[in-house]
Amino acid sequence: MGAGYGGGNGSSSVGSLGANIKQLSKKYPLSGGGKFGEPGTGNSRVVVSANPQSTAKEFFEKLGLGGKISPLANGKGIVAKFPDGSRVNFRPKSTSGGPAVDISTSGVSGNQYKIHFVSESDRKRN
Amino acid sequence: MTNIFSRESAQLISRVLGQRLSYVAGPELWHHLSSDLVYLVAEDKVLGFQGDIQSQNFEGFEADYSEIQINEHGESELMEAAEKGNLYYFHSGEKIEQISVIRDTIILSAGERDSWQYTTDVGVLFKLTSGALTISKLGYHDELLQVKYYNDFQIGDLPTTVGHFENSLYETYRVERSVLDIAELS
Repeated sequence: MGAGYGGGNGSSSVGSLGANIKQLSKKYPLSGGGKFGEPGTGNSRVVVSANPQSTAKEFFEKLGLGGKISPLANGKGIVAKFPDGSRVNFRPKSTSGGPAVDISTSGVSGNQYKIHFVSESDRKRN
Repeated sequence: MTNIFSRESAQLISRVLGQRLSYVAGPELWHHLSSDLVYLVAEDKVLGFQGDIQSQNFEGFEADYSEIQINEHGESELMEAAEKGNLYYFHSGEKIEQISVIRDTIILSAGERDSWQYTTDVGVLFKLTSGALTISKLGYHDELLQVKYYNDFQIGDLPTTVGHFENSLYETYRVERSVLDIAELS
């Protein structure tokens, strides 16, 4: 039986998505609005790289550091959840075809947006 | 644009009305009681709430929007949750006295006029003999659901749902929430 509202499962990892974003922004600078990548359609962002799949994976691994990682039951990806309710989803194959990472931060400066990872040739095609 | 429970889904949900709540479970339901798959187990029914996403283009661009699929399950499907210890017995044994659907309408206004409306069912409220529980979407754009228990439920306690909608100088969003008795939908 579950231990309570926060669950148990024995992991002692504690992390913060905000801190992970700050750390990752040293390699991938944030925009003025505090988001990764370039503007995409709607509220989404685009990160162009030579290997979109591995870059997306790198984003998830670094942003999800210290979060509780679990697979999605619908088989579409994995999610990292943080104690303040922030979360990062990684989908190797999003509805648009390529890999995507969803970032959802909690709090006053809460942000929710999706990052699509594309290659230079995909970018030119679109 | 609407993304709401079908009549069949509402009928499935309403089948646990009047039954006693046994427990809530899910294979990955532990951290913050959030997961994309939540089982509600009543006396002789197991309802599965599966969060998923669908792609839509009503905002002028393609984006993902969350939806909740309701299915009836057998007890054998609870094995994985049981093996992982993800069964939650808060308020177990209490009667499910009322069921309501939480429905949000997001309206984009540009100047004096409304540009589009998006109506979506964001969760289900189960009122129990003493207290309540909700199973609801964490966000408008991903599949994660969350379970919340209430010892003394007030309508203002309903969880908020987050989305990518951001006001600008020219466009403002507002969310209108309604709570509908399941009998109206089934």
